[in-house]
Amino acid sequence: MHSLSTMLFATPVRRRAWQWLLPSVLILLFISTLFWLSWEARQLESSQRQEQMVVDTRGLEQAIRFQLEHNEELIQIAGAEVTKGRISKTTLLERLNSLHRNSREIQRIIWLAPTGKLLASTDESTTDPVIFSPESQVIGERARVTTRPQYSKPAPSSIRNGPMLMDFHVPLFLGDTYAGSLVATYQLDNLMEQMVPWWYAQDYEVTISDSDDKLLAKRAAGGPGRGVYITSRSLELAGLTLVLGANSVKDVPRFLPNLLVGLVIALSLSLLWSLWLLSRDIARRLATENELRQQVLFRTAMENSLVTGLRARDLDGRVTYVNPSFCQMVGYPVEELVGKAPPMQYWAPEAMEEYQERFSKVLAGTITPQGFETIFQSARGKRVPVLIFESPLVDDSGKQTGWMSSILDISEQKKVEELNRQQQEKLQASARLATMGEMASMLAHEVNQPLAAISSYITGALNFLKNGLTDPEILRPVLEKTNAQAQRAGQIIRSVHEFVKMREPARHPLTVVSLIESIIPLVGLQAQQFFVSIKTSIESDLPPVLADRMLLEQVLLNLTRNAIEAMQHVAPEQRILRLTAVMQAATPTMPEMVVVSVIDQGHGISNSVAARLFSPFFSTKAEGMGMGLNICRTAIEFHGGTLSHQPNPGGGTIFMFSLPFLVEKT
Amino acid sequence: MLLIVDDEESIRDSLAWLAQSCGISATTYSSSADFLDGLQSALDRDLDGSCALLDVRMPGMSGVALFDLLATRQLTQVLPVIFLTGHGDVPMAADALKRGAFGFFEKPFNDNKLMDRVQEAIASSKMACGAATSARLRLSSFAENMAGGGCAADESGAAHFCACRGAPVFRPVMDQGEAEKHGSE
Repeated sequence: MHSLSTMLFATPVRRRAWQWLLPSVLILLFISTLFWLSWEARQLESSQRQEQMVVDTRGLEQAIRFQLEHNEELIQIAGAEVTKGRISKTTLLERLNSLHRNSREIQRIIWLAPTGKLLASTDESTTDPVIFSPESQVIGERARVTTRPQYSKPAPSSIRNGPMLMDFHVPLFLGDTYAGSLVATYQLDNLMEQMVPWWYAQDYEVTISDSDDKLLAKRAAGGPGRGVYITSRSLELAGLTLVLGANSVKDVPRFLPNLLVGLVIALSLSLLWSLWLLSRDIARRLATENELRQQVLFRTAMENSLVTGLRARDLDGRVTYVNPSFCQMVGYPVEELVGKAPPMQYWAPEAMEEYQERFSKVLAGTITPQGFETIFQSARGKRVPVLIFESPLVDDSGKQTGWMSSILDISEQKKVEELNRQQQEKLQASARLATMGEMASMLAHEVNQPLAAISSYITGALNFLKNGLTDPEILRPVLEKTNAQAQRAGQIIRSVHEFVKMREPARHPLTVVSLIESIIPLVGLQAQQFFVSIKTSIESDLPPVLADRMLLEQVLLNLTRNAIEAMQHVAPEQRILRLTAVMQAATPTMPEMVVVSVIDQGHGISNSVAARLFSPFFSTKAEGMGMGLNICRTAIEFHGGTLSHQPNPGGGTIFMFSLPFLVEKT
Repeated sequence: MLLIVDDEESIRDSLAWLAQSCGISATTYSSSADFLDGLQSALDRDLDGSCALLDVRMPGMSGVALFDLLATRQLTQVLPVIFLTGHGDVPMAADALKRGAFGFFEKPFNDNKLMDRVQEAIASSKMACGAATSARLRLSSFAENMAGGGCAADESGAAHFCACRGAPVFRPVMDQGEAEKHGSE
């Protein structure tokens, strides 16, 4: 039991640890995957925004460059033509004015003589001499030297905190001779205003800075850039490199990832919560299970400790459960009993009919709550008297699923009963014996007294005669006394005869059937003790006999008891007592008679015993008086019949008596 | 002298007649109590050479009980006891024989053989009384106690006897010669 409980209680703890590990790991994996996925989605979105911005910025850079290049070309052409004299000064001014009007980013265009004198300007406010920023002056010189137009580094205008200005110096040459310059001044703020589309400005903070990262101009229509998405592209101009920077006003993507993360967290939390609920439920279940197991162990221990046999059968009579006590009773192991359907191996062959009948009764539901007695045959062939109680087996939905039987081994009880019965019998027998002995001794004493007296008187008288009698008269009183004693003895004998006469049998008409029926309960009691079954076969329409019921009952009881006792030591299935009554046809010496036979399958009667069977005081039994059969024969002969016996062809003995029947008066 | 104790009158009478026919004087008693009462006077007449013929079955004190009473006083040598038994009493009588009874006869008995045995018993009694005067003394003192004590009717007589034997009881006892003279009568 110890190892069993260890096994039952220790294992779940270890198994519980294992069974929780796997789901925990899986849930962790699931949660981290969700986080990774949402992070990945955010990354994807960011890179998409970044790429979009790069593309937009490149477009912007190209648009600016195209615009500037377009302006350069117009200015250079106009400059070249005026230098060669193909167009007049007026035309030049018209062209430059039209350019200035169309291109709002250009603040002014001035025409300078080779001496640096202002020849014309699109801006009326321009005064001579024109003042350039130092950087612009340097670039102007360099353009003249290199004969190539160049942009000056943007510099603030002379006005304090004025806009950043960038000059485009276009040197004009006639042949190799320097013929003045055209200088277009770009205001960077205006450039931005003109060139950056509104939708772009809405999304990005656009900046122009020089190669030293010095901020030159900025446009941020949609507010300041967040610094999350940043790109820059260099703007290559003749003699100058500017950097176009874009800084998205958009922040890190928020809404979607937040939703995702929120979902993930919510899901994870709910998952954990449900896990907790589950674990609590499982803990409760385990507790219940444990309780149930304890209950089952308790019940098993109870069933195992019971001395009462328990057997459960389903509705078809198939055995579904037996307890150890039952197995011990019938001597078969559990596995040989469970699952078996009738006929069961522990059914004794001689009681088969009884089992079948009772079994069909049980199946039909007509059971007796007070139980019934029967016998089982154990594996070793031993007969076990048992008391069985049947009750229906009902499941929790109230449906009957079979039958539960509790079986009590009543061998001991039977033994005690038998012992009691034997004691009782012995007691009665000894009481009878005592009475008989007492009667006999009383009778003997009574008769002995006068006989002894007579004897003494006569011997005395003879002694006197022998010694020579002097006076014969002396004998007279003695002889008279002797006579009186003889009379007395005769009186005693007569009174005994009278007493016996009073007990003369009373004969009445009675049927053999009623006779046998009246003794069956008594015979059955004894037969049960020795596991003898009784079978009767009585010919119908037997005429009544004229008999003393008590005497014939005594005869039958005597014969059946002998028969049962004769079968005490034969195999149980052979213990069958038959009672038959038939009509025997008339023979030349005998009239027609009713013959009653008591047939056993016992040890039989040997020849030596048979010869002395009816002698008085002969008995094969230790306690027998040797009067039974003798009295039986006397009783039968008194009725005008005969008692005889013969060996039973199937083993054992047949005792039979014939009775003349009562002829109905017609 | 033959002391016959039997509840049956015809038996007493016929046995007395038989004894008489053999020349033995006999006294009859109908019960044990009667016997114990009459013992003294019987012994006064013939102390030596007595024999008791007891019926085993008697109302009141049985023959065996009476014998046992005599045996406890070691008187069965002086007064030999012969039992008369009915059918079935043989084992009881045989047992008494072992304890010192002189003999037993089952009814119906051979009368002359019984008388022979009675003669032998009387002879044995005479020898016993002659050999030990103390035995005679004992018998006579017992008889006096039984007669005077009034306690002989029941079986507790022995016990009663024990209680009153302290009283000085001494009766002149006949000498051997006298006894023999009486016996030969």
